[in-house]
Amino acid sequence: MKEILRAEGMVKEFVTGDIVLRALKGVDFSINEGEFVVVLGPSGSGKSTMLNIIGGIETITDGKLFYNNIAVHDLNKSGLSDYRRKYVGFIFQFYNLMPNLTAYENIALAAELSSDPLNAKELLAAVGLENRADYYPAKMSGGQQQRVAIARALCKNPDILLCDEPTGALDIKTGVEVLKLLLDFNQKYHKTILVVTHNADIAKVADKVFYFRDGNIERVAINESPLTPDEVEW
Amino acid sequence: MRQYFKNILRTILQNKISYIGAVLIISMGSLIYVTFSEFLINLDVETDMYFAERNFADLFATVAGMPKDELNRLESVEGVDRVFGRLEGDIRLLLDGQAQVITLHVQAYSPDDTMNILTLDPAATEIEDDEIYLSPKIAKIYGIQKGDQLRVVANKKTYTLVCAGYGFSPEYMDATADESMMTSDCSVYDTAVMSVAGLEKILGQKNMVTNVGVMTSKGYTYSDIHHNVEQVLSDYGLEAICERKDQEAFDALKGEVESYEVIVLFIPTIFMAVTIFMLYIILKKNVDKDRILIGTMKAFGASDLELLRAYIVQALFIGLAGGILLLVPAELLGKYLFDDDMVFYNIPGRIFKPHPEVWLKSIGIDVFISILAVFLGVIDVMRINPAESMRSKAPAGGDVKLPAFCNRILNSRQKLGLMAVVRNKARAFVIAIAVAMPFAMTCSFPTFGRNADKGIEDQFTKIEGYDLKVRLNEYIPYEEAESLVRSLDGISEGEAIASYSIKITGTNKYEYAPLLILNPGSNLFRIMSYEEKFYEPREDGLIISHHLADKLHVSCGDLVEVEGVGLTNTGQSVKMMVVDIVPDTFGLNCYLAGDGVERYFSLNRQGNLLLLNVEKGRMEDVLDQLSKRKNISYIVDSRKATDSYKYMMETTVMMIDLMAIFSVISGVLIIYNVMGISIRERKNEFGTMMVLGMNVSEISEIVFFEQFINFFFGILFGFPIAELFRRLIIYASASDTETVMLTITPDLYLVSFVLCALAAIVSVILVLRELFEIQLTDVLKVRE
Repeated sequence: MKEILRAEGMVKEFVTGDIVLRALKGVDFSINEGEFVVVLGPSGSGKSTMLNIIGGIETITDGKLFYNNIAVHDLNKSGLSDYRRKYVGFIFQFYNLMPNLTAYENIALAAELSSDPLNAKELLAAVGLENRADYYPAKMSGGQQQRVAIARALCKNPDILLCDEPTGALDIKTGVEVLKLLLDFNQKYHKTILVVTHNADIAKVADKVFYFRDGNIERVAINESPLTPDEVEW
Repeated sequence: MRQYFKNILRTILQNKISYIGAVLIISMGSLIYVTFSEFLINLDVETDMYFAERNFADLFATVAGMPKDELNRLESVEGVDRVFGRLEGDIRLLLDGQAQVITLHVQAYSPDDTMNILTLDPAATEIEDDEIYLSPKIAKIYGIQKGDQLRVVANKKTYTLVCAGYGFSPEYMDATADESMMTSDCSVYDTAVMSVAGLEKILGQKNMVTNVGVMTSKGYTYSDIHHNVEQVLSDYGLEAICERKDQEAFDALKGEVESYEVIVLFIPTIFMAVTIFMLYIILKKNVDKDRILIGTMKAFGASDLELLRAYIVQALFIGLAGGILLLVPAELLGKYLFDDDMVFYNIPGRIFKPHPEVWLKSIGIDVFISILAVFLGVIDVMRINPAESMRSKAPAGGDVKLPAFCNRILNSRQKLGLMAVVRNKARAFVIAIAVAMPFAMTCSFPTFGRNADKGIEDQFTKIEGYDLKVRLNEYIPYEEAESLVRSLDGISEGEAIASYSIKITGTNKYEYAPLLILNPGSNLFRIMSYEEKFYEPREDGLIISHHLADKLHVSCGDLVEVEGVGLTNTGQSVKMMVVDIVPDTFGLNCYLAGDGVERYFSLNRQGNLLLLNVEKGRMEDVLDQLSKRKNISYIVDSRKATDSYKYMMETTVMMIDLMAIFSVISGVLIIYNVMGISIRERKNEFGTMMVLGMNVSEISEIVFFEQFINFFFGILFGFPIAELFRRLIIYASASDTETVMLTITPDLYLVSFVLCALAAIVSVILVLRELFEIQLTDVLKVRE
């Protein structure tokens, strides 16, 4: 399989006054196109920081990150903006939907940012919210909002879908549904997905698992026969 | 609740510009309030004390001449307590190298004076017969010092007098000689004081008085005695009679106090309203932002009162800071205005006294306003339900769909901007008002200064179009006056008119007013309304000023009674019809065409004023010719008069200009704050857009388009508010004798528009720059 992401000695430091916090301490990894990768680790281990750097919303202090042939670490603000727009989709733990836009409009907004978007209506139906198209985020449950957020991220038709604790705020049943949606997208469109979570059970559906600890990937596990979300015991 | 207070303190620090803005706006309102309250209290109290100390009369009368020993005839009138008479007269002052005619209105001084007592500086009980005390204004204009010898002409004889110092009269704070003049021009006409014997000698009048003052007995008023007093004085050529409140100097001062009283109330009220609006917005947004926190605090058991108290303490500090910040400048400005007015009104020896009760009142109002605004802003705290607070609020706009044409003509960013407006109407409305208020303030407040100047300019260009107005010592036949004009070299255009001081009586009211006998078709004196509509003088009746019509309660077609020295026999009046009422800017004027004199008063037409336009480069020559004439009382140079009138309006204009400057500052603050708050509160929204891949220019386009719509509606709302402010300023600045018609000209609208647009653009740019500096990762950690 073709390599889509490669990190070499990725370091991230946060400086607050005299205190320097090293969130990433020389991370190396390689992710292939179409892989479903789960990043596992305790809180504060640096997994979300890594996800943010891959997503182009955080820059690295040292090291290199390549997306295909693009040196993400060299991109300036506008280059990062372009990178996010063309290649990256994001799903957040707290959804981050536009409060003034309805479910459909939130998805359509993402479509307008893409040169090759998926159909917003179809995606809304795919996440089971066709009858909630005109609902504002504040009028929907957490699970519904997360489904809109997934549809929004997918609608851009990104090459990489980055999910930060996508099921963290959801109950088990909704969590399973969300996971199914992600896997469907992964399989149907052969898109790369990275899911950051501290829920070890989710790792069972992944092709590859990064175990994070203290700012570095402690080990990488390849899952030869991943389970389906329904088979996972939460 | 210490930690909660800490949280609020940090919120203040995060929004420090907004809070500083609110404090500044409050302090500007306070500055105006304290300045003008202190100024007014001092003006009112000190001038009352001055009038009391000088034994200011209850009734004032001017007669052609009355023997001093016949004054006791008035004492027998029921209700008259005391009577006082004084000789007054005009003399001409001759100064080396001065071509223009300078007239001094001299009052006789005696240490035994019991009423309208004059003040001498340096103080003296006895004045030598050859000594004269000048008004400080004319002394200053011509650099006349104590001990200088002055040549004067009186009764066609020249005398040499010595300037002994300054003389002040409570009756002539503002010496206007000509009934048609609005205010004094001290370079050609001012007051002076001489001993009784000295003045009698040069005027050739022994034991005569021309000015009478009467004090009423306890329980009697002017209206009880004036009829009988008039009857007695009519034997001595009564020229004018009025009560204290209508006495020119007294009326001018008290009129000023009254006109400022409205402004003192009106302008700070606007600033306070703006403050309430701004604080309300800041606090409301803060509470919205802190909904989860407030809900959590409630869930932990905090009461509404405990939560509210934290915000109210904050209001207390804002109010106190706003109240105290500009107190010292306010005090200094109040003192400056007071001292300036004392010089203008020729009132000696009054000292500005601070009034701490005004400071306390101002601080109290500020604190109250601040608490009210904050309370209104945070009242939502009481409505927040802990469970609901954990969820974000749905937009109040409901399910609003954009019309099809919007979808066609707008790109996706513009549609987003438009949707943000239509689905958050309350937020859009607040921003629109935040634009509308400063727009209205910046285009209406400066109108006063501009229009006051324009009113004065118009008076001396469009109404009184002459270069020189020459006042004769006496009325002469009209033809003679006209030939006098023709006899002068260097005159391009000239004519004679007449002005009379008349008593005009409406239904139940009467006034003393100038009657101008004008020439139809004249270019040198025309009748014009403040709307620049011209009226031709008519011979079939009077045209009167709207101020006079209001005072007399008369309207077009009503009959009035007119009497005046030189027009009617004493005690007799003539009925005349009011044929038109002119809404003019200044004065209580009556106008009649020359032919009307014979028709109504059965008199041959006379003239006592010459209006002259001088050929280019001949002014000095013409003034020289005029100075050699013996029958000229004084000459008004219209250019100088314009400056003099502008000086008269200076305080009011300065005050309104100050408001204009403050309105611009507060306008920028309001726009910056309200727009800033509205954009900042959507940090997460814009952060998410950036994460989705929108670049800076796309997000800027959304924000600018949204703010453009808000701004557009703000300007639309601003027009009626500006009109409201315009009317309020006209109302606030109008007096019994002046109405400055304010027009908001297109250029003012344009300047205000540009100012507000610049403020809005700069605000949006600054806030966007701030937004683009945010850490996207921080934004995404925040739960909506």
